[in-house]
Amino acid sequence: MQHLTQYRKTLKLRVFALSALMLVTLAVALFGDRILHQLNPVVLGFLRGVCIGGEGFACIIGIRYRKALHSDDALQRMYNAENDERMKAIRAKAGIPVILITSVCMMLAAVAAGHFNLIVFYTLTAAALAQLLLSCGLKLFYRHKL
Amino acid sequence: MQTKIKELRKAHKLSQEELALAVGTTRQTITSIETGKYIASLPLAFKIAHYFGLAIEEVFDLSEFIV
Repeated sequence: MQHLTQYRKTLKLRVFALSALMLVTLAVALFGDRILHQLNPVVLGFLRGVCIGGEGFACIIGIRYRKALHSDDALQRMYNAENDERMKAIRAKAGIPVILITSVCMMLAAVAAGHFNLIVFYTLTAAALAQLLLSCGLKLFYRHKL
Repeated sequence: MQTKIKELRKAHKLSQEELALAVGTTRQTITSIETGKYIASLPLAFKIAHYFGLAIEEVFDLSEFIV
């Protein structure tokens, strides 16, 4: 039960981090045109879209974490799912952690580059999305195979 | 890899979900091990065998690994 106590603390920390992330994304989604007025309207639109999507994603994950925090059984199931060796193997084969980090970095670079050149913005965004799609495809393939 | 997990589960009247929860994994992993798609790691194999009170070689058919 030691691992569950530690996991509960980790989840509380994650809920806090998600709440902070939601505040930031909400600020960008609502006041983006005032805060980032120097950005190209296309880039700003993309950033707003990403922020709204991130807001929804963070909301769903936050609700799942809160539900797990209120029930020991749900907490145990979530812990098992997160530490499941088969899922870890699938994620590793699909390159999930590295591709996700690289794609986020590429999107940030795309937003920065979009200030100077829209073609670079489109190219970097398309490459990041292609990477993410490939990774998702690999994940689905290995989930079926393993 | 062939295993006797399904038979043992049936004998103990356990569902895949209950076994998964007891050994700290997911139902999908138990399904994959039962169908031979996934080979369990040594710690997980030990947990499953220990749960049924058996040795690993009594639950998992290790003959293909013997040289």
